[in-house]
Amino acid sequence: MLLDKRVRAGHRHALIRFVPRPRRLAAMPVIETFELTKRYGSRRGKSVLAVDQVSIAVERGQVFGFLGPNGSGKTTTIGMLVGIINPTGGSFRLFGASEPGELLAARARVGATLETPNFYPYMTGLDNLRVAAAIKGVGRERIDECLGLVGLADRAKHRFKTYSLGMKQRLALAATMLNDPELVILDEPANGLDPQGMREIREIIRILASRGKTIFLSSHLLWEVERTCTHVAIVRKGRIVSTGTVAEVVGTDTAGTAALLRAEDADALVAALEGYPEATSVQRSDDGVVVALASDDLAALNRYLAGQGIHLSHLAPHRQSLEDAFMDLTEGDFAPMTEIAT
Amino acid sequence: MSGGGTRTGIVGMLVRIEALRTTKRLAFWVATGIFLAFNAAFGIGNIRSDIARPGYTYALPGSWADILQPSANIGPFFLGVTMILFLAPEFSWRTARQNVIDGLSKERFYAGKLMLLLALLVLYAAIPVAVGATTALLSPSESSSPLVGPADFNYMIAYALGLLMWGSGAFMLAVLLRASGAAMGIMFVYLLVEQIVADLLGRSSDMVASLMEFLPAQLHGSLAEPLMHYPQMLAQRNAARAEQGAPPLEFIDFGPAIGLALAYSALFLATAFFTLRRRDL
Repeated sequence: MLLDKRVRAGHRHALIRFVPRPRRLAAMPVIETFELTKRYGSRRGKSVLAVDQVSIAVERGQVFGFLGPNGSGKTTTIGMLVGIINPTGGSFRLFGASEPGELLAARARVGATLETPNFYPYMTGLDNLRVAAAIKGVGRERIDECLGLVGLADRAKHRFKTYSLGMKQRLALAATMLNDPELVILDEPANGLDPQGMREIREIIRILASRGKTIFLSSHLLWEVERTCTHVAIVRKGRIVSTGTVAEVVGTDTAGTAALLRAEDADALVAALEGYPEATSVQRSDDGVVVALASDDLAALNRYLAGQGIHLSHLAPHRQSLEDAFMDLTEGDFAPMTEIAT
Repeated sequence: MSGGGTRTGIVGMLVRIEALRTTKRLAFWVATGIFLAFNAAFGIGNIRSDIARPGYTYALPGSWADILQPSANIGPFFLGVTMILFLAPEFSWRTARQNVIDGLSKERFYAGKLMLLLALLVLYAAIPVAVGATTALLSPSESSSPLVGPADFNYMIAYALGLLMWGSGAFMLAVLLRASGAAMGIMFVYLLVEQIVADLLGRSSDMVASLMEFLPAQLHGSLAEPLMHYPQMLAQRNAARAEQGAPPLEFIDFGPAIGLALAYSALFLATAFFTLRRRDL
């Protein structure tokens, strides 16, 4: 129920009209951070290092996923970019601007929403957007356009405190897009949305990206990020542990492949794989045995195993997902559910 | 794109935002209504006294002291509470944070709230003057002129300074504590503590007692006292006290009192400004 009826019915022209095509601009990173650091508390031993020397670059037109477990410093990093949190170290540039005066002007080209939607509960959705519109210097027509876009036109004159969480998220998205920003920063935009709402958010992100907008997206929904983002950075305990294109982070751009295998005697299968010269790693999984290979030749693997007297019941290429990469990179940050249960 | 680049454009934008936020809030109309009713009640009381009490006259320009005194005592606390109600929730609702995310700098957010403080000050100063003048003109005793004399003018200035001082103090508490209940609680506890401290220490020596007069709440008490501004009234009171063997009442000079009230206000507002700029939202 996020988009208006025209969009839900598949008539994307409503959004395409809403988002003008960008002017051609010289290539320049939209966001650059240089060892950006935030430490809370000044006393040694009692201070918390929330963001630890984070250096990232987000180029124009990228859909950049910023991933990490709860408390890993994602929102703090975004908070520094949008000016609500003062860095304690390092620096950053937005559209090339780094000085306070320049940053204020640069932030006029940004639309952002952080964590939960923050609006005046006693005011209507429309009046809340009027406040945001006054700050962003846009008129009433644009407010109506954005309200229509997120499907809130009918509820615009109802008080914000009467909205459901999904409606609050939609109002936040409308406020974000009021000034037709070149850079859209979304921190957990799908929080509280049903699957339909999540799909519609993804659709909006894709359409915005197709029109040349730069999207900086923080999310826990790794599957969504994998489908939506072109680039990702994974942050753990305040530090960037991996960054690059989704393929680079997942590891699917490297030579070789991985395969999922099943056989009647799993122990014999593992033993045989460990002796296979092309195998770079062998791991048991819930579904069978995953073998990483230096080459792409699965037929040769099959012939080798047959020669060892092992007849496979399943052989298929195995693609590591972003979730797999995320779990590998943030290993130890999550207590197993069995531990929590006990 | 953001909010108009010129200074006039920025001021216009801040006025629009504050006007929208304030007038849409029921608490604003309730607070204004209560203050209006409070002044109307005193005005009506004065009319009744004018009718019933022999020797009492409720007319302009002679009754400005009677008109201003109730508000001079209560109005500043009223403004303080209202200011807290309008500023502290900006932090608990995280709307200050959202304003900055939307492109308002912390400095402009502060400037908007400063404008709100000044607008409320003008409103709360105007209400007793308007209600008092109206009720005095309706009273049976004939008013010769609504013009204010120098002493009346001083009293009005003193009232406005009281509003500014407590409004600024409330501004600072709201920014420091970021919670309405806590800010109001601290404000009233401070009043109580200051009074106890002034009473206890004031007994030790005359010099300490005179120093206590410079504490914010004691200073406001002096500014709100008509005897400070109306020398004839003070002379009559002291003559009466002399007959009873009591020492004469003394007040700090009006000039230094103005300076001190402005200095306290500047200190409170500067503390709020630097706190807002330094702290994360």
